[in-house]
Amino acid sequence: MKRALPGLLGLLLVAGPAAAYHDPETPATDYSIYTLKPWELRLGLFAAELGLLESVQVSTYPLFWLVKVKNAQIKWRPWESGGRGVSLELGIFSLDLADFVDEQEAGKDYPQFKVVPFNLVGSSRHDDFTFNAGLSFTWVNFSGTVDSADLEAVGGASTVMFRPAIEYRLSRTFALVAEGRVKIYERYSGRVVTTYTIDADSEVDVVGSAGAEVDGPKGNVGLSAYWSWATFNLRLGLTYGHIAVPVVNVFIPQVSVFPIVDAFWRF
Amino acid sequence: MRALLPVALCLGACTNEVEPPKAPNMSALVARYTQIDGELTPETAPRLLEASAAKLGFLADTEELLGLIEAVATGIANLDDATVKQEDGLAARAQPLTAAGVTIEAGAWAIYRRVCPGTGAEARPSRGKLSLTLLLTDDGFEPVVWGGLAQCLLASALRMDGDIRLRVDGLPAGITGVLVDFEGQLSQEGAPWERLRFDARYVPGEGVLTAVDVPDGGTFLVGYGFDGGVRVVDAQGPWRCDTSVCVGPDGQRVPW
Repeated sequence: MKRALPGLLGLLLVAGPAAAYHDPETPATDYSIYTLKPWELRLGLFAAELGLLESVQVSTYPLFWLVKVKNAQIKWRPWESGGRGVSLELGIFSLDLADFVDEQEAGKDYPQFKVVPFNLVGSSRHDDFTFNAGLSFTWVNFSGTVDSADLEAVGGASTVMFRPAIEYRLSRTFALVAEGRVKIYERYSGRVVTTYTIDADSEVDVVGSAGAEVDGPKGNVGLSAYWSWATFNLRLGLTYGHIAVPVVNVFIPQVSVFPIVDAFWRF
Repeated sequence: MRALLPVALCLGACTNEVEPPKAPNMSALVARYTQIDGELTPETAPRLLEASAAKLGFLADTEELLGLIEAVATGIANLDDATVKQEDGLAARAQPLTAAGVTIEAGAWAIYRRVCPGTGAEARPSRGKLSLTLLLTDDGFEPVVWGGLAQCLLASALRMDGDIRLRVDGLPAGITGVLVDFEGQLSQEGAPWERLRFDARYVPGEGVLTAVDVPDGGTFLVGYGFDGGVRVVDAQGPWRCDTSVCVGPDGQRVPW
């Protein structure tokens, strides 16, 4: 097995038609307007993507399905001309805790989490550079009851994030990517229910509803090395700043350094 | 680009917040109880007596309801003494405020549930209940409170089903009056009465009054004091009446 491993890795790195080089025919799809070609497949550590039409691709995160988070995204590039273009991407992520219960109680309102991200991206390609500017709108919602004595709540967040990225192609197989995330808008909201017993015959539910816009700048910057061979792609780098929780696009208010890691194949 | 529109709109509207319920508008009824234009005279008195007979009868039948409402209002005003049964949920505590001793968020409301008194022989679930929604404020709660009676059994064996709206005046210092507006169905021992709408103003410690229109004679308030006497309020002010005569605010006398 040990002897077979280098051969297998080599096969993964070079096998198949050239689908992933950093050239105008196979541009990176992560932070840009670009989509996979029809029936082109991308499989990797995180995302699985499939090109459907010349300008439409669908994707999902298989790891999320393993923990019963249903998820799907569709990306559409409605306009591209002269190395410039615009793309729209809409997703849905849904977690229903009822899926974890073997025998569900009739009529019980099990908690549900829903996240709907929407990304608007513009890209402009100039020689070895591609300049990208994205706006991510994300709506997060929680609702449901865990137990009458434990949790009864609704809550969520709405965020808008600016996501610029610059790709600098140093060779056909290697590029540097500088990217950032900047908070434009963050609003959190929730509801709390408190039950007061007044006497044996009467009680009061006090329901508090509140929303709060979060002030103050938040963001991060990252630099990554992006290798792209015939089919295999590897991306490694570091980000500094506030950690942005993937999918929900919410910033954790703690500044730190964290890695960028991705690996995938394009067929 | 048109696809952006719903997203932009959603930022304003889809913020997961639960909007507080909206209180019903009771201004018309409040005006009816404050803009009294009838004048008690020997001519209008018998017509007032005739017009108010049914409402006074209903007041007597449902007197217990007023006691129940007073108990509810007092209970809410004294939430400080209540014990917390459970406190759950998610909250962004951005602007805490205190209402009736309870720290809550802006835009909070309360749902008050009370088991009806019953005749004394029934278990709690069969006594029905009164549920009221209150909008909480810095000072306690908004004066308009509303909700419903569900199979609410009174000590007189009268059951009430329907919608109820209250305007509670005088808070937070103390309740000075409760305007009641009920619409629904009454029944006694399983026999339903006619569906009706009824309103009255209850003044703790003093009495209860209901608005009565006299054809071509204006609007009066008629009721009784808790000392047993009949009360009439006309454009001049309050009158005290017995079975034969009413005495006005300036001592003038009008026979019934």
